[in-house]
Parts: sequence; C-alpha cells; structure tokens
Amino acid sequence: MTWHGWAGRVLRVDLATGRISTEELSYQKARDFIGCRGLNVAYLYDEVGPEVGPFDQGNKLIFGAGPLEGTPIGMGRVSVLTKHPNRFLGEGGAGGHWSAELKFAGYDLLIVENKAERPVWLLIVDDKVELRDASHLWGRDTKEKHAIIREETGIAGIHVASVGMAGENKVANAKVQFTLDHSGGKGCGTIMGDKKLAAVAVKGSGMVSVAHGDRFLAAYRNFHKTFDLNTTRDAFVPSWSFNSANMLLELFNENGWVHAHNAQMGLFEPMLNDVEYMDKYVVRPESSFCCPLPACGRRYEIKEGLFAGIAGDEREVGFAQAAPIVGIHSYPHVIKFRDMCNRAGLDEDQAMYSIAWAMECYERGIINRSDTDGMELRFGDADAFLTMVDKIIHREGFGDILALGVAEAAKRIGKGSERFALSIKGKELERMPQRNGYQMALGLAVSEGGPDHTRWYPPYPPNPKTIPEGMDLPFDPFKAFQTRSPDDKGRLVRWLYDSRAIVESLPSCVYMIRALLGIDFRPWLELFNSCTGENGDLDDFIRKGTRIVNLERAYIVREGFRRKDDTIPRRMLEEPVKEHNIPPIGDNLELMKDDYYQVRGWDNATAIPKEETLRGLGLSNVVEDFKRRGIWETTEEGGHE
Amino acid sequence: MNSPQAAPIHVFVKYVGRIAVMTGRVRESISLDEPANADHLLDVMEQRYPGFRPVFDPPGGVFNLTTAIICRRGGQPSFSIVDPQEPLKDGDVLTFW
Amino acid sequence: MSGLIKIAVVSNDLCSGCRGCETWCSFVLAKGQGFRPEESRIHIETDPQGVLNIPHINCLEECQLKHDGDPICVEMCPTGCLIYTDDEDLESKRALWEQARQDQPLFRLIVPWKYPYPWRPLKRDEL
Repeated sequence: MTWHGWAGRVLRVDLATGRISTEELSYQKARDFIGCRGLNVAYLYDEVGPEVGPFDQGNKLIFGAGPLEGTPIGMGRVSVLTKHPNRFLGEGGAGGHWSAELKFAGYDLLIVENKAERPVWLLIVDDKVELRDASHLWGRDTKEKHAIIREETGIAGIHVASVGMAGENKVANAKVQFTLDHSGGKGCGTIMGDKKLAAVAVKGSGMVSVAHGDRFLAAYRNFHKTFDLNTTRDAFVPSWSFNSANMLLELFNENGWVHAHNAQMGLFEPMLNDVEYMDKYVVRPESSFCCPLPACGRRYEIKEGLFAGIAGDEREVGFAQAAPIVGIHSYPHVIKFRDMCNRAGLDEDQAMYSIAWAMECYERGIINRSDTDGMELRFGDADAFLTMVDKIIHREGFGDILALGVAEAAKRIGKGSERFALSIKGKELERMPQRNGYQMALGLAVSEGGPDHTRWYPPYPPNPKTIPEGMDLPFDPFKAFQTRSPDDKGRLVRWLYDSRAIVESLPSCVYMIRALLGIDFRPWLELFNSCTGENGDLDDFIRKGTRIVNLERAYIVREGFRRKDDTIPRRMLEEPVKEHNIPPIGDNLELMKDDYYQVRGWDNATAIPKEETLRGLGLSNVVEDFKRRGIWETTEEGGHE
Repeated sequence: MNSPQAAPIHVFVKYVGRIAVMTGRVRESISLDEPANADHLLDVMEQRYPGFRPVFDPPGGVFNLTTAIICRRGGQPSFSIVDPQEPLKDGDVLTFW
Repeated sequence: MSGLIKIAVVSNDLCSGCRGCETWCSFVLAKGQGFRPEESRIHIETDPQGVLNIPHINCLEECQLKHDGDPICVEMCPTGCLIYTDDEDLESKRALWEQARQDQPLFRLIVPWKYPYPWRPLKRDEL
C-alpha cells in the first residue's frame, strides 16, 4: 500500500544472531494505535508476554517514531519501550532529532530482540543497517560514545541513542541517552545495557510523505499561532518559550509543591533563581527538531570555578529541582549533577530521591556511617550528594544498594525506612506535587508506566474564561481548578490520559498542549488526517487514545498489577505540607480511584478492564488473551511493591 | 491615598520568567498604604515599570488571563489573585508570572 | 532600505538548530508532497561537539510560500536568527541585537524586535 505520514516499515534487529530484517508495518495496528507510544505497546503486548522476565532473552526494546514524525509536528519525539525491571511499562519519550532521522531513513519502529554476547552498536543510514563491534565504546560515557561514532562514520549530522555507565551496570532505572542531552525511558537503558547494545546511530535522507500538503500547511499555521508571542492565549507560552520548566521553580515553591528534604518540607528558601541561571549559564538556544518555541531548549556552560568547562543542553527543571530535594543551594553542583546523569544515562529522579531517602534515614539514625561507607549523609551537603551519585553509577559500596532503586533499597535496609522511600510501583517519584494537586496525585497513582507526569501533562485545562461557550467537555473545567477537592477528578484524569496518549503517539511534544490545544482535538485531528490521508472523525480519534491507555493497562494487568498497586507514597497520604498548612490526601485518593475506574469501565476492586470495555475498543485479542489466561477469574489484590 | 489614618504595609514581591525580564530584577519589597489591594499594587508597578499593568490587566480585556499572581499569606495554602480588588495584607508574598 | 533583499543570518549564536527552515524549505521544493530536509536550500551545519549551529543558505530567492512578504524559512524561524532584508537594515539590526543581549540575557535567545513585551536591562548586582 501507499503510506503517507507513516514510513510503513518496521526494522527488526536480532542481537543474538545478528539478523537484520524489515517488514511492512501492520496497517491495522497503525490505524488503531497511531504510532510511537501507541504502536510500541501494540507490538510489545503481542510479542513480550508475562512469561518473559525483564532480563530474559525474550524481552524487547522498541524505539518508535510516529506518522507525524519527520514533519514539523513531530518535534523529534521518540518513545522507547521495554518491560521494566519492575515489570510495568518501562516507557519514556525523548526529543532531539533522532526520531526524525529514523523516519527519514524510512522506518516507523525499531524492534531490538535478544541479547548480544559482546557489546555491539547499530548503524542505520537509510537502507544500510549494520551491527558493529562496540568494544571501544563500552565503558565510555554517552557523550564520548556520540563523539566516537560521529568520528567513525564521518557523518556530522548523525544522531545517536546510547547507553551510559548506569545502563551498562544495570542500575535499576537507567535511561537511553540521545544526542543533545535528551533522554528517556526509565529502565530502557538498563535493558539496553543488559542486551549489550551500546548505541543506535541513525541518519536518513528520504522523505516523509504528506497526503494533502495544502491542508497540512493550513493546519500547521493554525497550530503555530498558539505559540505566537503576540497573540498567545496561554499563560505559560511567554515564559516557557525562554525559561522552559525552570520558570516552575518559584511557582512550585510558592504553591507548596516542592519536595524539599525528601518532601518533608514544602518550602525551600532561598530557592534557586531562574534569572540567575539564565544570566550566568545560558549561552544560546538549542532546540529539538522543528520546535516552534524560541528557546525551550538551551545550551549552558559553566565558565568559571570548580566545575568550569561543563556544558550541555537542557530544557527541563529536573536538575534544578534536585536542589530542594537534597537541600542544596548551588547551581554549579546541580549542573554538575545534570552532567553526571547525562553522561551515565542515570535517571536523575532515582538518584535524587534515593539519596534524599538515605539522607533522611541518616538524620533519623536508621542508617549510620557503617552503612554509608563512612560518609556523613546529611541534607545540604552538596559534595556528599555528588559523591553518592558517582557511587550509584559505578555501583560502589552504598551506591550499589541505591542503584537498586529506592523501594528495593528500603526493603534491604528495613527498620522502618520503607516509610520514607518516595516511590510508586517501585519507581521513584519525579518531583510532581500531590497534596496540593489532587488530579496529579491520581494521575501518578494510576500510571501504567510508574510515576510519569508526561502521561497527563499539563494537568489543567486552559483558563475557563477562554473556553468557547457551547464546547462539550468531558469534565467540568471549574472543578478541575479545585486542586484540593476529589470532585470530578476521575473524568478529568481520564481525559488527560486519553488525549496525551494521542499527542505522544502522533507524536508531538506534550509541552505543545497549550491553550485550546489541550481540550479541542480538532486541530490535532486535521494535522493527522491531512498528513496520513486518513479520514476518521473526532470520536474515532479520541477513541484511539482511550484504546492505547486500555492496552497499556491490560499489559500491566497481565503482569499482575492490580488496584492496590495504583497508589502514592505514604508521606503524601498521611503527612501535611506544614509550611503551607496543606492537609494530607488521606482517603481522597481511594475516592478518586473509584471514580476513575468507573469512568474507565474497569473493575472497581481490581482495576482490570471489563470485557465490554475492551470489546467496545476493538481489543478482542486482549479479551481472548485474558480468557485464555483466566485473568478475570483471579480476585487477588495484587501487590508488586 | 495618604490619609492621616493610613499605615504602611509591606509586601514581598517575586518576579518569574518574562515578568523578571520586564522589571530587570527578581524580587523586591514594596510598601503600600492600608487598606491596600492588588489594584493598588499594580499602580505602583506601573509607575516603576511602565507597561507593567497592561500585561496583567489589558484595557478592555480580562484580568490575569495570560498572567498570574500567587499570594502566600501567613503559612496558609497559597491562592491565585483573580480579582483586582483582592485585599493585600502586611507580609504577603506575591509571585508575579 | 537599499540594495538587494535576501535571506540572511543575524548571528549563528541565535540559531537553535531546530532545522525548521530546512524542513519547510524542503516542503516547498517538494511542492507540498512531503518533508525531506536532505533536499533543501538551507542546511544547518552542526559542530561535532554540539557547540554551534551554522545555517548555510543557498537560496535562489524564488520561494513560492511567502507570508507577510517573508519566505517560509524566515516565517518559521523561532528565534529570528533568519531575516529577510537588505544589507543596510541587517547591519543596524545586528547592532541592535548586540546591545540588547549585553543588557538582558533573554536576548541570547531571541532577537529583540520579535519580543513583544516591555523589557528592561537586568540589574545584575541585585541577583
């Protein structure tokens, strides 16, 4: 068939045999699951069942582009997916240019199977695909890997996905690291390291075909207006265009959203300042493929002092939010932390929350110097923090325990330390507030991929005053802003999940969900239809998002996850944010879950999708699979953590 | 405004993102005559930083449509100011973004 | 305005490497049938260390897709790095940008004439 948008090809690489093959993309899967995140899970569901352990040969690592990748909507977004070491969906998106190059090379998906005996790397230049020996790359950091590959191939514009020392050493939530310091896929780096795949480098020269060019251009210009500084109707656009998520530092602080000292405090002063960061460290813009924002991504450099010479690219507050969590006030230290994570492919959330947990345990006397290799481990000690990060990467001493992830580390230490391990489904939090943002608490609890805010980001609809009258919304936009009430959060979070699943499958960047683009999906539908030549209506389009989330839920249900696993840390349920007098969430979480499972058509006691729900979404293969495995007959409550 | 009964209150102001670009600074303390509200504060801002008010309160437009002012008061949960008549109190921390 | 009007670069330092110009140019060359940056009249050269993006323009000034007089590469450039103007105007704009970025670090990221809000020099001593 003639494909528009989609390249129509899947590339498979078997690391055990070295066999490389291409096959036609399943049109049925493409139609039902769009691409990228959605298509990835469609393939993983069929090919990696519950009998396959995360570190078995049979686990797979899938890199997905989508139909709109390679067009200016795609923003270089890639979704990486594997069965996480904790058995949920190890999924993450990353930006940059890698995914666009994969499309220009002519592939929608790359599926990596089995394990190599010795380290290898994969080179993809259009139809030329080869596995190469990676003995000279193994043990190098990700930036060195990128540089060596550029040198070796002589292709300046080549983009590289690689695994760092964290992945090579199988640190629990290691990520895949892409060119320009984009990264994603918690646990994907761990599995990539286990498979001894050092890197995947790609460069393409082909075309991404558009079915109706004139319509696509008109739809793009309409989309583009949302980000026009002169006319934008979204409060975030003007600041986000230059400060990206760094603008959130003070906002989080003022709203009691920061997790200062392992979330014992909701206020951290003095907070690191976004303007100081801009003035001292930002040197120029550095963007993902066709990003319409001037400088959501920026290049930074430390010009003087202890860490002089460190430079890289960022667009995320993650590194700066490490500061309150472990209690440090120094930009150079948090930038150094960022650089260490980038080079090692270490998940910064695992590092900051597991070290913060250890600091809290140390200060409470649960652990002492005999546990920490003789180190004092107290909040505010920036040098001790960086030393411990290095120990996690290299799995040395106490770092070897923290490398297991905070939940597993707490199990090993015991003595009540579990209470202070801030994790969901065994994976560390990622800095998102809960006690002063109930939709976020629910969103994190019910995630199929561990705590992951991009699955429901941004968590608010647009300002209700900007919503046109008569617009039929699946939730109440005013109640959505009542952030400490459980009312109507089920419908809201269902909408956020379904709609974001669409955007991440086209793909585009969830930062692009601004103004009415968060609730009115007609512009997204027109971009999709004009590019691919499909002609489905809006209901059908939204149902694709619902279908993706249901298949993701079915995947983790099949792995044994149940309602009980959809929870948040005890600290958020039981302790207030004292500095802002915000009460704990308490029973409200379970109330919201009742609401959510009901609007989803999932069983309230188990969180298993009902047969009629799956059938209504055309997931009859899941129904048959569930029947064969007797999944609806089980009544166990689950309990993975 | 300066009636004999008036006593000054002090509010602490933070500027985030593009608002800090507008002011050229990130924080300051501001004195206002009591009783004070958000509108009075915007008057002071407009005097110091011409062009400030229309960004928050566009003529003929909607107050704080593409901006926000967060108020933190006395250890209570913070709230957003949606009405220019919102009274301000001594010690308020106001974040403009 | 005087002299030849052309597509020019204000400064390589303002190029974010997004490749929007490349990508949209290729859409014009392909007559709207798709995107193929390989076939474009602009190419962004990326330094191997990721330190610099350098736009190379090989344009015939025959762009079929103009918006308010600007060719589509300029329309879609998010930072204002690409400009469609003549030499004299280009020089004065460069001087304007150079001063602005000394005063306010925001203008390391966008040209001041594309920034629609009031702004003031940063008081660095108060940080």
